[in-house]
Amino acid sequence: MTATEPSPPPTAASGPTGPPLDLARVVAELEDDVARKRASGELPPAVERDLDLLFARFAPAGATGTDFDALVARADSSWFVDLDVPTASNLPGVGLVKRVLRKLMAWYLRFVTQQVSAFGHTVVEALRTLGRRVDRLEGATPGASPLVSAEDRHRQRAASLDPWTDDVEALLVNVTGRVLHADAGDGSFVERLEAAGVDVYGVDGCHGQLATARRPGLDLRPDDTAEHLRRLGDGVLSGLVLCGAVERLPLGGLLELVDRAEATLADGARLVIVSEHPAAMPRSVVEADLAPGRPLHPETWQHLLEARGFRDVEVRLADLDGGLASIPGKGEATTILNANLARLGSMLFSPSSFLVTAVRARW
Amino acid sequence: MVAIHQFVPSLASRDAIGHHTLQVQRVLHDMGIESAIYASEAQPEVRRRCSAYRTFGRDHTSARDRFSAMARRQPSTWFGSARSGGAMADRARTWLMYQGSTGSPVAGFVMARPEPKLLDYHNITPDLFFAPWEPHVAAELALGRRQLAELAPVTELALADSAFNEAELTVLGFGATAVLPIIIDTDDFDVEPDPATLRRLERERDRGGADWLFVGRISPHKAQHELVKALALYRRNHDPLARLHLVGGSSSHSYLSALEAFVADLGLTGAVDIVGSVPPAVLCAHYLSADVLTSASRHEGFGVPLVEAMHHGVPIVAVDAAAVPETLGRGTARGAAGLLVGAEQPALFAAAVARVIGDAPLQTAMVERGRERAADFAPTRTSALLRTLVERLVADAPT
Repeated sequence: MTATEPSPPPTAASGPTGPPLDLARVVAELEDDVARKRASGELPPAVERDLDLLFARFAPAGATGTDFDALVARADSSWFVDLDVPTASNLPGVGLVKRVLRKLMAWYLRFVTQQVSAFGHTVVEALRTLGRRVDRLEGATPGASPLVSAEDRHRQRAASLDPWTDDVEALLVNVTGRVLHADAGDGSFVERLEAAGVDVYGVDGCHGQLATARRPGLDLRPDDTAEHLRRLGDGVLSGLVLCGAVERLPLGGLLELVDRAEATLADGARLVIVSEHPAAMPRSVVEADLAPGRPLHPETWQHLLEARGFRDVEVRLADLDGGLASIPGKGEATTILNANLARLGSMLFSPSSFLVTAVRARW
Repeated sequence: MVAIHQFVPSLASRDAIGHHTLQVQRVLHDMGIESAIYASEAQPEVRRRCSAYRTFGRDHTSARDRFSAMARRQPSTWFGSARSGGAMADRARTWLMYQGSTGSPVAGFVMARPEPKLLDYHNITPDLFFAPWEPHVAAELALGRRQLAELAPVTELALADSAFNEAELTVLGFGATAVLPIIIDTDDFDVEPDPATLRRLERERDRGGADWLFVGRISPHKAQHELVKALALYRRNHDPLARLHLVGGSSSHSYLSALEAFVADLGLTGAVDIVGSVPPAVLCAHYLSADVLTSASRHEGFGVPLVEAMHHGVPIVAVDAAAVPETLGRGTARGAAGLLVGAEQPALFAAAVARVIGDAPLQTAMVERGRERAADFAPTRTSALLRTLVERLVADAPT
């Protein structure tokens, strides 16, 4: 038996009066360890995928997910209605009776089954045609492709809120009512807002992130941002912080997110969006290339929010990510040269991220 | 005379619900409450302890006599021939308790009766788990969910094995609900282990390798194939001699066949032991020989094998789903007794098992916490809870 590295127990649990057993921390460590092994190639993702595919070979269609091709293949193998009913029987004489009945009823059943089979075959062919059309559509719309979604599952988390925490806290600290931090990660900012007296909770679709939450009492829920907003009632939030998801959702998903934000925010509620700037160098080019969507420009956010009736829409840009140094000295030539360097810098370099804030105005 | 008669689709002593039904009857008899069991089917070993459900209401007098006889000495000898229940003079003091776990004509029968109803809900597996494998079972389960919704407006009190089950009842519109965990007689856990099985398992252990155990029916929602995947990765990454013992009968022939084919294709036929249904002594031997109880089940309304494993001091690694975390004690002041990992992540599951087996202090802490948690389900506690609920029900009933 191969033992893993022993570690101190998660708590000094001893008897019913001891502290609680913190197994969530152990699981979080294990998740990190597995993620590290996947990233290093020690645990190739193909191994798990191969196991899934192998079991799928023995499982009926629909049992291991709703793979379209498998379902069509299943339908294709069963559209023909077989008229040749088994007639074997352990009881004496019954087999003979069955055979006679089969022969007597054949003319009638054949007429019916041919129609049913023809219908089934037509439906299968229609499904195949539909499938080909959907494939073409998915190819032209990357965000809709399950292949893209599968790659996006392995993304590392964005940490775009970090440079803006002071600004966001200042915007939300006086909000009365429920505030949601979507894509809350390990909950550090939820903890900070809670300490500042804000009635806040967080959601994050990445279960492992929540498992590493700093304080067990925090209201952090394992939930996808878009799904969570879909389930919330209208006007129930007084504040909403969006980050992370806004950088990678396909355009359709982003627009739905904005619509749900509009619906769930109460009159006068504050919306805060923090996003990577699309013109800035992405933190990871691999993730950026494989993401189903791209971050929007701040001007686009401004347009989307104003078009939905948000007021006081304000955009703040982070400092320039890099830049060209000015030439020291005075004089007309230096001034002109520095002005040109500044223009060149603004064209070459962009702010790494930006913050958009707006207030929901209901009619 | 107060009477609470139980109706159950199927009664079997080795089945958790059947066992619970018999325990409920014991508690009611101890309280001096008349109680008989009516079933649609019964296993031979418990046939004498129940009656065919359609016989309820045919002959009140003889049934009452039989109930009294049954309260005095069990088992009696009247399965299939009982004349029971009936036009009770005082229906307000007679309740019919339906043990709900699947779709059954018994539910329709109970609903059609004029007596006030109680429900003891053990959860109905969502039909989507069975639909691709056993469509007829899926139809039965879907019927069960529909019947459950129909029971909501006519049920006076609905009991649920867990808060998870209770939440389902609340969504369906049940008014008065309460949590009553399955009554488990922990004495049954401590039977003498079968010596032959124990010897066989010890011989295997001597050859090296960890022993994973799963206890429960072979069924799509219990996802034994996920355990096989995890075992395959565990053998590849941690322990090439590890074994998995799957103890429990089958609820789906097609799923069992697929599982066997999957195991064979992975070359794990010698490592995965599909044991089948076993008597308590053989089961006890498996618990005593196991290094870890593993569960990849996606849907459980409660988890008797989890309690049994905790009672036997076997650490648990399970998929975080349905009422599994609740059974293990997550949400209590002392936390969960088992490692809970996300579903369909065999590599993570295997890593969790490796950690539990290889980390002695962690294992000791988990076993200790498990024993504490198992004590929460001691029959004295759950029986007392049932007594309290019944006393309140009777006290509030119109006389």
